Amino acid sequence: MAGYVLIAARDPWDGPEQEQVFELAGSLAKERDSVSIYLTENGVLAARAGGGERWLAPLISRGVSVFADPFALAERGISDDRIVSGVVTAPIEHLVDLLAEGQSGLWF
Amino acid sequence: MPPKCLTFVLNDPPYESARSTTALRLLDAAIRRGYDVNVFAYEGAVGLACASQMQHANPIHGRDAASEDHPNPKDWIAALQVLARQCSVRLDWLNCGQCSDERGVAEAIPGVRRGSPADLWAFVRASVNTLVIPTS
Repeated sequence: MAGYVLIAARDPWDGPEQEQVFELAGSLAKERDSVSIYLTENGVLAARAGGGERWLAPLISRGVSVFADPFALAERGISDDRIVSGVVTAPIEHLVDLLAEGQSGLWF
Repeated sequence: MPPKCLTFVLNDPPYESARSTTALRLLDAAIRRGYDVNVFAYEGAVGLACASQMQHANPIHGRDAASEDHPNPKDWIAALQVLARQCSVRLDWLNCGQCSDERGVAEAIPGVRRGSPADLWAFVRASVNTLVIPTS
C-alpha cells in the first residue's frame, strides 16, 4: 500500500491549525507502512532543537521519516547541528523522488 | 521507455507567497531528475506566466529599472522551458481559462496554454502522481 508524504510548510507556532499535519502523520503511521513529513518554508521552524521535539520526537519514535529542506533551514539561519534529533536534511529533489515513487502528497 | 510524468497544481498568485518559489523549485528539480512535468495553474497562479509583467525602478533607493532588476516569474518559467528542452523532457503548462479571463491575464508567455479542468483530468491520468499546492 502506497504511503504518504505530508508537506509541512507553515510555522507550527502560528496556531493550533498548523499542528494538524503532525496529528495526521501520527494517525496515518498506525495504518500505513510509509509516512514521511517534509518540512519546508516556515515548516522547518518545527525542526529547531529545543522546540520542535514536542511534535517530531513522538512521530520519529513511531517510524515516521521527517525530512527538512536545507534551503529553507539556511534561509532561517537554522544550522544542521541545531535541529531535532532524528530529522534528516534532504534537498527538494528528495520530495520529488517520493512523489515519483507514488507516495501521496498532502500539502499543509 | 518514456519518462515518468508528474503533475503539479498551483493556486498562488505571483509575489504573494513562498509557495510560488517552492513550486518553481519543485518543477526545476523534477525536470532535472528527468521527469516530464505538467503544471495546471488555477486562480491567481494564472498570473505567474503573464506576458505583460514588467520590471520597475526603485526611486526610494535610487535605482533605475535595470539596476533594480526586479524578478518577474514569467522569466523563471521561460527558463524552466529552456531547461526542459535541455533535459529532453516535457514541461506542459496550462492556465485555467476561466481563471485567466476573470483576472484579465489571458496573455501568457509562449509555450503556456489555456486549459480547463478536463485538461487537468487528462494530466492526472497520464501522471504517476499529482501534487496540489493550495493557497492558505
